[in-house]
Amino acid sequence: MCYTTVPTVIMRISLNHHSGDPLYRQVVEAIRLRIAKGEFEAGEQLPSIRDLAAQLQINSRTVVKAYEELDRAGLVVMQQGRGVFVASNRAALPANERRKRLRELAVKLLVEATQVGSNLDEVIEIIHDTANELESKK
Amino acid sequence: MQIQWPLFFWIFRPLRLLTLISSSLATAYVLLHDKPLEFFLDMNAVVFVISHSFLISLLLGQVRSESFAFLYSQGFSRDLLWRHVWLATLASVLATWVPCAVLILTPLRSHFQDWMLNPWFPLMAPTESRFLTRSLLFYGMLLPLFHYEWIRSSMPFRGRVSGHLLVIAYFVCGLFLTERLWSFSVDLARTSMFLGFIAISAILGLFGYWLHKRLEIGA
Amino acid sequence: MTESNTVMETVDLTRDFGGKVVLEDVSLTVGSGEILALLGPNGVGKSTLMKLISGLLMPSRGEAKLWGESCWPPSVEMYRVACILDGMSPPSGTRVREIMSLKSCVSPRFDWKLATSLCEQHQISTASRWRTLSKGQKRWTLLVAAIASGADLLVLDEPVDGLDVATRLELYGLLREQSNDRGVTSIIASHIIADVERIADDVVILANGRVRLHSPLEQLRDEVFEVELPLETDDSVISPMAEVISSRRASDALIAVIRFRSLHLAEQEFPGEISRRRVSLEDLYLAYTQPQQPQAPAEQQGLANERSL
Repeated sequence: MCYTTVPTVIMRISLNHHSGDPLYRQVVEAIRLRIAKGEFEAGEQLPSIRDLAAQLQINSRTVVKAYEELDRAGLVVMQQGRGVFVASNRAALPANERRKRLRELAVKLLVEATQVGSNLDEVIEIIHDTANELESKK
Repeated sequence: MQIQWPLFFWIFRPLRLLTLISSSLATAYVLLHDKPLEFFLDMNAVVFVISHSFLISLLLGQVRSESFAFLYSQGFSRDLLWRHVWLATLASVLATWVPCAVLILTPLRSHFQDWMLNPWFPLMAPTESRFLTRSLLFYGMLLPLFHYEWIRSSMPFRGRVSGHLLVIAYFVCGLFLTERLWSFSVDLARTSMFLGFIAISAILGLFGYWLHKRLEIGA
Repeated sequence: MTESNTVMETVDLTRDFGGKVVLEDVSLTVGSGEILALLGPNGVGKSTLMKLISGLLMPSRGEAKLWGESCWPPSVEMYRVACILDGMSPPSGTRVREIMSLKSCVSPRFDWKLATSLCEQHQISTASRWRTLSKGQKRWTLLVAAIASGADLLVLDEPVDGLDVATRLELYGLLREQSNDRGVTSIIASHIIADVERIADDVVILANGRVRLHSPLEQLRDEVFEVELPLETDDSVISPMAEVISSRRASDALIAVIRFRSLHLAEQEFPGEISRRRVSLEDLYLAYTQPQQPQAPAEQQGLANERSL
C-alpha cells in the first residue's frame, strides 16, 4: 500500500535469498560497504525500519536485527523515536583489537591468493587499486 | 435473524432451475387439474412434493463437491450456513407454492374451471385451501428428513449408508401405517400417527443441525 | 515470536483417515505477523494440517487452536482466517464480483478498493465468470479475495500454483506488506523452495506426518553448515556442538550437514576441520527428507544414531 512518510533514501540493496547467508548479515554488509565508500554523510538519516523492510520486502525484524548490529559496531546510531543515523565519528577500536581483526582478514586473503596462484605483490597491488577506487567515489 | 443476501443467493444458485421447473409445473397443475384438489388422495401432488423436497436436499447437499468445500471454507459460522440453507429451501418451496396459493385463494382457479364448464366449481373451491396447508405440512415433514440424509451420508467412515437406510425405513413405515390406519378412519389413530411422524422429523431436524456443525470438509 | 502473541497453536495434533495416520503429534506455535512455510513431500499431511487449522476437519487427537480458541468444532471467529485449499473452488458460473461479495459478507473488514484494483491489474473484470478465467487468474482471484478480506491469518496451500514468476513475486510482496503493516500471519505450503527462501520467516519441514524441523529461517542460515571433516571423526566430537542432520562418507572425508546448537558455537571449528560452507534451504530440505542410502556398516554405528534424533 502507500507510505505517507517523507520520501527517504532508497537503498538499492540486492539480497540473495538463496545463498544461505543470513539476510540481516547481507543488509549489514551492504550498508557497511556504502558507509565505507562514503555514500552516506555522517549524520545522514537512513530509511526507517518500516521503510527499509518495505523496500527490501523482508520482515521488519530482520531490519531491526541488521540496524542493531550496525549500532553495536558503532556505524549507525539508533535514536528512539527519531530514526537511524550514520554515526559521525567511528568509534575506533583499541589498537590491539584492530590489528587482530585485520590480521584475521589478511590470513583469509592470503590463503585465498595462494590457492588461486597469486602472489603477495599482486595482492598489495589490488589493495591499493581498491583503496583508490573507494577514495575516488567519496 | 440476520440474512446475508450474497450468501443466500450463493446457496440458492443450484436451486434456480429446479425452482423454475417446479413452480411452472405446480402452477399449471393447479390451474388445469379438473378435479377438486385433495392433498393426500391426490398421488400426483404427493409424488411432486416428495420429489421436490428430495431434489432440493440433493442439490444443496453436494458435500463432496469443490464448490461446497469452497463455501464452507470461507469462514462463515455453521449456524449462519445452516440458517441460509433452510432459507434457500424455504425460498424454493414458497416460489413454487405462493403462485398456487394465489390461484386457489383469489379464486382464479375456481373462475377458470368454471369458465371451462367444470361442474365441480365454484362449488368445491372453499375446501381447497386445505390442499395448501397439507402440502406445506408434508414439506415440513420431509425436508428435515432429506436434509438429515445428506449430512448423515457425508460423515466419513460411518453412517454413509445409515442416512439412506433411515429414509427408506421412514417411507416404508409411513406407507404401511397409512394403509393400515386410513381405512380405520379413527381420528385419534390418524392424528397420533401424524404427530409421531412430525416428532420424528423434528428430531431429525435437530440431529441434522447438530451433525452439520460437525461436518468435515474435504476429508 | 517472543514479543508477539500466539496466533496459531497445535498441541499433539493427530489425524487419521480410516486407520491410516496422516499427521501425528504435531505441535507448532506461530506468532502474529509471521510467514511460516510448510515444506514436505507430497502426501505428508500438509493439506490435512491446513484443513485442521482452518476448522474443516476434526482432529483424531490433540488440538489446533487459533487465538487461544479451539478450531473444532469451528467457531464463529473463523472469519479471521482466510484459506485457499486444495480441491475447493467456486461453481463455474459464479462471477468474480460474487466471490468478492461472499467474502465481504464474512468479513466486516473487506477492502473493496484493494480487491478491485488487484483484479484490474491482472485484467480480471469483476463481471467475468469463473469458468472463463485462466488457471493463473483463478488463483489470483482467490488470493485477492483472501488478502482483501482483512483476515488476520492466511492459510494458503500451494498458493502460487499456476502463477507466473512476476505474479508470484507480487504475491510475496503483498504478503510481506500485510505482515509488516498489519501483523497478518501467513501459513504457506509450497513446493517451490527457492520461493520459500525468499518469503518465509519460519520453516517447518514435515516428514511422515511429523514435524522434523521448525525454526526461523534466519537462524538456520546462521547455524546450518555443510562441513567436511576427517574420516575418523567421531560423533562424540560433533554432538556437543551440533546436531547432525545428514552425513555421508566420501573417499577421504566425512561430509555432514550439521546444525550448530547456537550461533556462538558456530564460530568455533572442529578439530581437523577441512572446510565448511553455508547450505541453501533446498539442500537442507533434502538432508531432512531424503531417506539415507544404505552405506558402509562403519557409518551405521557412528553417525547414523545421531541422525535419528
